[in-house]
Amino acid sequence: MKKWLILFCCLICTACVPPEKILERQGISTIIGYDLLDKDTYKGSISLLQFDRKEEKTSETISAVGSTSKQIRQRLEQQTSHDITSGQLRTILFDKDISEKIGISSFLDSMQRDSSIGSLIFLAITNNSEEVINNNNYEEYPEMGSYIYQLLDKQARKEMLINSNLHDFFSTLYEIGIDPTLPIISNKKGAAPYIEKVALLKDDKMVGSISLTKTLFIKLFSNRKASLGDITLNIPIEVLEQKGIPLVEKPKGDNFNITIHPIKHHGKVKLFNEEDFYLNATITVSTIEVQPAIPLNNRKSIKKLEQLLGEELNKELGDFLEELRKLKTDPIGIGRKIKSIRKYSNLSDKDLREKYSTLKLKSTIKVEIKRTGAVD
Amino acid sequence: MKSNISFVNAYLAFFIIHTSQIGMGILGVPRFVFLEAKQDAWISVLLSGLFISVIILIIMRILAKYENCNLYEIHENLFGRFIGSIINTFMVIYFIAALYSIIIAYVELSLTWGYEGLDEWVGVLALLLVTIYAVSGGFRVIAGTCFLSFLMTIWMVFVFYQPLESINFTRILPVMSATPEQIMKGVFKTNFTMLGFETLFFIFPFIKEKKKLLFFSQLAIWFTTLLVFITTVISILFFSQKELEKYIWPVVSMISTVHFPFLERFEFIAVPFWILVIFPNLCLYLFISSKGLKQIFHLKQKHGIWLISIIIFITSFFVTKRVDNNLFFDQVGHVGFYLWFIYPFLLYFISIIKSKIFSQS
Repeated sequence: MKKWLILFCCLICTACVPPEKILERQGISTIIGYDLLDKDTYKGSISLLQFDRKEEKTSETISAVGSTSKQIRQRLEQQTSHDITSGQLRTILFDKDISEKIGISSFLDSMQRDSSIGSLIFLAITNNSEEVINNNNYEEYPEMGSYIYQLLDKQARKEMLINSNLHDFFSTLYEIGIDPTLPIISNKKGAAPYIEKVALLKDDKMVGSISLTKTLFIKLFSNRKASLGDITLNIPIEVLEQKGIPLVEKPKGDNFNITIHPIKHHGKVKLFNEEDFYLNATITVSTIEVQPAIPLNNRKSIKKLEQLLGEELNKELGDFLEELRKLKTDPIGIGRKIKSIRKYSNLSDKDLREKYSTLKLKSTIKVEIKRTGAVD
Repeated sequence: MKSNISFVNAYLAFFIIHTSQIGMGILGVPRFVFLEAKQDAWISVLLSGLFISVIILIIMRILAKYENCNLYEIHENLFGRFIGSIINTFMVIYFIAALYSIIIAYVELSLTWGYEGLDEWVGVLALLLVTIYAVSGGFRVIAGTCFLSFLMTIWMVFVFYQPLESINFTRILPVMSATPEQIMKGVFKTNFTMLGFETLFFIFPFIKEKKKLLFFSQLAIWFTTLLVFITTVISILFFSQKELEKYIWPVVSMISTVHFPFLERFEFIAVPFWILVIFPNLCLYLFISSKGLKQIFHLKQKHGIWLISIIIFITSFFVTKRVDNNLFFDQVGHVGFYLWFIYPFLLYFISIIKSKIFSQS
């Protein structure tokens, strides 16, 4: 009896169950893009990795029209002999029309429901996602999906993008008091697609865009571990002279240009009283480029320079905050901070937005120059 | 009569009680508690731990009164053969239902994560056969299973360090904003996860050093509380409110952000691996319920095991839908709550009263 039981267990525990997945039969989709055609009809395009060695092409792109993402997928299946699988899906693109007029969250429901799609895939906005996917310039990567994934991943890891994977997007979208951001990918004929800007969203609709360098201010206050990316400041020489920082060599232009590399940052947001909201940040930096050279070897001039850089950054931050408020979007999470205070914890999304638009935002940025590179 | 009982050391009680508590519940508990107590869910979890700690004390008191008896025997002792058997039958039905709820919960999870399209009975059958095999080996094998399962799965706690990178502390603020009523409702919701400590009632006769048992069982329930507490806190910090309310298995969804250079989707390892976590639960519940059948009907335990397995196998053709399952888990949780959170106190009182009456006469 026992022997039979063991034998039976062996048979049933070998996991020989459907759905079987044979590599050669899989059409592994790595990127999917949606474009708005009409109201309620969308065009979906995907890029499939090829595993057949006889084929010279490493990938294939197909597109189909439909009204839901799974209907599009069904129609895509009609066009290929492979099984389309989404386990290796890395990026989802939306065109500007969808993200501005319709909002992207309706598409993402399916992504959240589908357990074969991981939480680490990237979302991005482009002008026309079909064209991006059909673009043939993807450096040394086998196809467009891998290229765009690497592009976004690299930028998110070490430069100036805010994390924009599916999990981050959802958790900011659903959270009351913070709005998500997404990268905008630009596509030019004959060149590989590149990250152009960062889109600001209000709920799930795009309302504006900022340059990559501006994301610094968002990361400064929302993520302590994020890499801020290098900061370049162009300060007129006169301002420098007013501050009393002497120049060592003769300036070649009108501006004093400095690039600093943030080592550490610490941002704090705080509701001071009913009306005043403070944003304080300290950035520890090392200078990586200074032209023309100024003396960085005595405390006095370093201190003055620190002050100057802090003021300049603060000015930029002030403008940036005003811009955000004009667009009625809150990517920094000021609303969230307010909501975490007991008194305001019952505020609804609408109330918070109202409060956000009437707050007095006060900011200070302190720069600390820790290192000056191999020279001073 | 009891000469054939195989004893185990008291420290094994830690593994037995802890592994029988941790199971399918922990994957979903942050959501259920959060739905009631919002960001103060962690307080509910701690309170629940405190509550169980008291119950363990009571259970030990009851057990100490009746040396070397399990709960079934205590019932017969206390209420007589007839009424005792009725109560025992009810208990056995509860354990069978609990066993089925664990099996179907796991099968449902694994079907969602990778085996879509498979019939539920296939998964149920596979799990049942392995469980039957383990339980046929007797109590020592089950104790060993618990021990091994603990050692083989506890490392998963360290996987949480990756989600830790994208947590946000403001989500747990303001602390203590839930009303006491909401927090108590949250405590009530933890029961499906926290249940399992009742095995103490049934493993008691098998433990060698009875004096150390209290210490190890307290250790076990506090360790479980700690794990549930950690998962709840991390889930609250990791998900935004609406997200946490949506996911059926928030912990699995959280693990889906874990990735290693050599492994991109860790949850596809974690979900099959979870079989090791639930395996002790299955073994213990099958063991306890078959023991009950033996007590009531004087059935051979082997036959009891098969009978229960067949009942569960047949049920797996009928109760399979998500909504039905949810209702089923809720019912099991409710009954479990009254049975193991309230009933021990009642039992303790009855036993005191009865011993007083007897000592007077």
